[in-house]
Amino acid sequence: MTATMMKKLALAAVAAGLAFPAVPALAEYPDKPITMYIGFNPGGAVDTTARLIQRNLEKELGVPVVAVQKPGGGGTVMATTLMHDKPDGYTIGMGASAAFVLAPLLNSDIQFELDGFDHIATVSYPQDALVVRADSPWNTYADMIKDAKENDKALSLSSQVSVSRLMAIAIEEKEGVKFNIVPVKGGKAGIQNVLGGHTDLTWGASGWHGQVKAGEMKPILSLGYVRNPDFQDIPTLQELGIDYAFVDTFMLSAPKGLPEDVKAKLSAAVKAALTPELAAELQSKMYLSADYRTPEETLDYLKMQREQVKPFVEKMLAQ
Amino acid sequence: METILAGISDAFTLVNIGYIAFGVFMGIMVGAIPGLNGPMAIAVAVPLTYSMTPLAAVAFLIGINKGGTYGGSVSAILLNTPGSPESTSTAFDGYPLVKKGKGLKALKMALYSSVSGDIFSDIVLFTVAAPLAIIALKMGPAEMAAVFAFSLTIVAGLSGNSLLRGLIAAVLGAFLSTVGLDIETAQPRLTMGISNLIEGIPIIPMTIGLLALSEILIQIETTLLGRETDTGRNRIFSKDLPREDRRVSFAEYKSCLRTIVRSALIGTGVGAVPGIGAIVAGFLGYGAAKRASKNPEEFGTGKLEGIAATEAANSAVIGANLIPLLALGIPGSLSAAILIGAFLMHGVDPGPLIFQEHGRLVYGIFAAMFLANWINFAIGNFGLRFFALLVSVPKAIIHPILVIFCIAGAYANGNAMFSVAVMMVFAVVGYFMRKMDFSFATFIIGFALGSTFEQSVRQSVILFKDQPLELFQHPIVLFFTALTVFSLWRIARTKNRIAPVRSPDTTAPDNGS
Repeated sequence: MTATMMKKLALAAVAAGLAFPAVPALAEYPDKPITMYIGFNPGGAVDTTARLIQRNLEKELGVPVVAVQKPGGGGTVMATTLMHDKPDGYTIGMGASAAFVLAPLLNSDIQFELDGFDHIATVSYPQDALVVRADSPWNTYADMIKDAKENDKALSLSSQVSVSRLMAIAIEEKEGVKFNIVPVKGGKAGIQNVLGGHTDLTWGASGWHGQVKAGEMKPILSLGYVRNPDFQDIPTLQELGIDYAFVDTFMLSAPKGLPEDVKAKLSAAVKAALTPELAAELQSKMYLSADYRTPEETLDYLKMQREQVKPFVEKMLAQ
Repeated sequence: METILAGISDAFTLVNIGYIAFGVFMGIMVGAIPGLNGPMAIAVAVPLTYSMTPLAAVAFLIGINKGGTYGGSVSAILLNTPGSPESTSTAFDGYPLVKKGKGLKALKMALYSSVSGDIFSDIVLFTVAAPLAIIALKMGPAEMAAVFAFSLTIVAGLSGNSLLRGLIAAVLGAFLSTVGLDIETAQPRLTMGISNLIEGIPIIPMTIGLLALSEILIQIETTLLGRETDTGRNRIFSKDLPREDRRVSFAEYKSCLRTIVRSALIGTGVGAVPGIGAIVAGFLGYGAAKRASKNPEEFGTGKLEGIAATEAANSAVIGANLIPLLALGIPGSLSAAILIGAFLMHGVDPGPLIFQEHGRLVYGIFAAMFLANWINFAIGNFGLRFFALLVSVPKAIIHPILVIFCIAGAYANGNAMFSVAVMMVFAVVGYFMRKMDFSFATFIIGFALGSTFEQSVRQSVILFKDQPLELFQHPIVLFFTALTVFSLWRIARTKNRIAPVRSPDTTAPDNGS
């Protein structure tokens, strides 16, 4: 075969490809790189989850998965961008459930609702806790409430997301205590305020594990639906008799209108990508629990979360 | 002791040195391009480190950070377009020096003071990280509010010819910083329903427009209108320039030493406290040097001390940023936050236990940081000639390339055309600010400090509204409040005294500031 023949063949192949561009059924999804938005800054739990699962997803799908950072607004910037993209399975986004559940309830500027996407799968969730400094007189929730009531003391709480403000509202309502809510930027600022003795409390889903293990901080309660797998001693707020819980679950979503087969393929790929090794890695390095859900289960889960927080959001907005 | 020695010897492998050198080189290149900065390069580089050992990974990333901070000064000096906002005041004296044919001297001064500041803060990190971190923890909302209030007094020193116009610019900057979602409850403020604004106006595209693109516009205009007065700035290596214009003599370095140490102290302090940042450190260092100088009116006309003051301060922030990171697990800056991610990837949880659990690694990192300083020095020195080729490229070629870099750099922030639009808007704003002699430095200070100042005041009010008198038990608050009042008093006195006689040929030393 001569070089000219090769060239002609190659040209013919290209021409054939150009001649039938509108027959997607011939090309098995995926046949080109997939863009995965990450709705948070580099270095955080969502980012790390996304980048760890990215490698496995590439293996499962057989095409490159390109991570693109879209941080801001706790995942709302990413969601707003994603909703305007083409639902062809080549643009997906890793975000967290608070952006889909809480943001539309709290912020009238948000253009999306939680069912305005085709959610592909839940991936993992962090282990959270309300924490105090190690030398705090309170060891338990009961100590804290008793002290606040007896000494008519306002509890100061560094709060970086509305999840913890809603928690304060739920506790205030049930126990008749008063919180001074200090808004802070980012969970680390809350940890810093508690370690420095500037506020009594902070709630977070990351950053506190090492402090508790080192004996610098004490956990009081968790907002989980069940107890944290690695910290079984921490009671949940629901166990303490207050019906408020929220777990900011990390999930993969796509623009609305994803073809069913593409959605099924992506969801199955996420399930397969969450190998036992990856789950162990997430757990040991980041205190993240792998938690796969199908598209339908994911949507139900988000709706359940919305119903759970709704009464407290209404109280917060009324304030 | 054994752990320390083992850690240090870990650092001195050929592979690690190679990674550090590569990181420093990458950092300088990225830092020199307007809009691309250290944190961004680190974020891009983190995935590259998956297969490295933890020590090599962190050393590589720290190398980028160190190189990036110096790199910002290269374009600030040579092109009057700061590669990153923390080098803004480097351009004030660097570019005039280039015009005088002393570009090489300016670049060398920037390198020497940058490395000096780095080394200083690294030594502080190695020796007193733990106690300093404890002091930094004492910086609560009220303390931060007091520090920010004091920082705002440097507006006076950076206002240029008119304090009033400087103040107007600062207030405008502060006003624009209030745009965005409430930090906690996600209620939008002044976003006018534009979802791209919910994170506020992005500072990097804003500063590229304000500092870099607007300067390019001015230069293009100058060229087009034929107003150019070329004073040999294209030939800063030329042999016919006197030798002393191409080097920094030991005497010159020594005369700046006080300034370097002062700035290094400021930078280290700023870096140890999470949430202030290298931008403020650079301005604070410059402002303090000007205030302490016997000839403050010489700043901005090509004074080596001005370069030294900024570069030593913004470089000292890097090492110090790791103080709260390693001692407490709290990142002091965006780069440090990204480093946490890199640590976690490699199974290291930064925090109070890191010295016990990963002592050898920590000392390895210390050694690698020290190594990175010297590599930065070597590459910087060697690369000077290469970087300075930039200015010998004809403007017809360099300007279009810079404009493309500006656009790409803005786009890289958030990967959105919105950032490019922000940059364009502020390029026009910056053009008119330059024409009308409004200080963009005070504008950036107002912007950088506005939202954090507001936030800490708001937090303080919530915490102390019931017992305001308790503030008197906070010595740091009292100290900085006193310092603020004192500065304001001095500014008022100075302005009243020298304003009537202010003219370029004022030779009377100004002892008042």
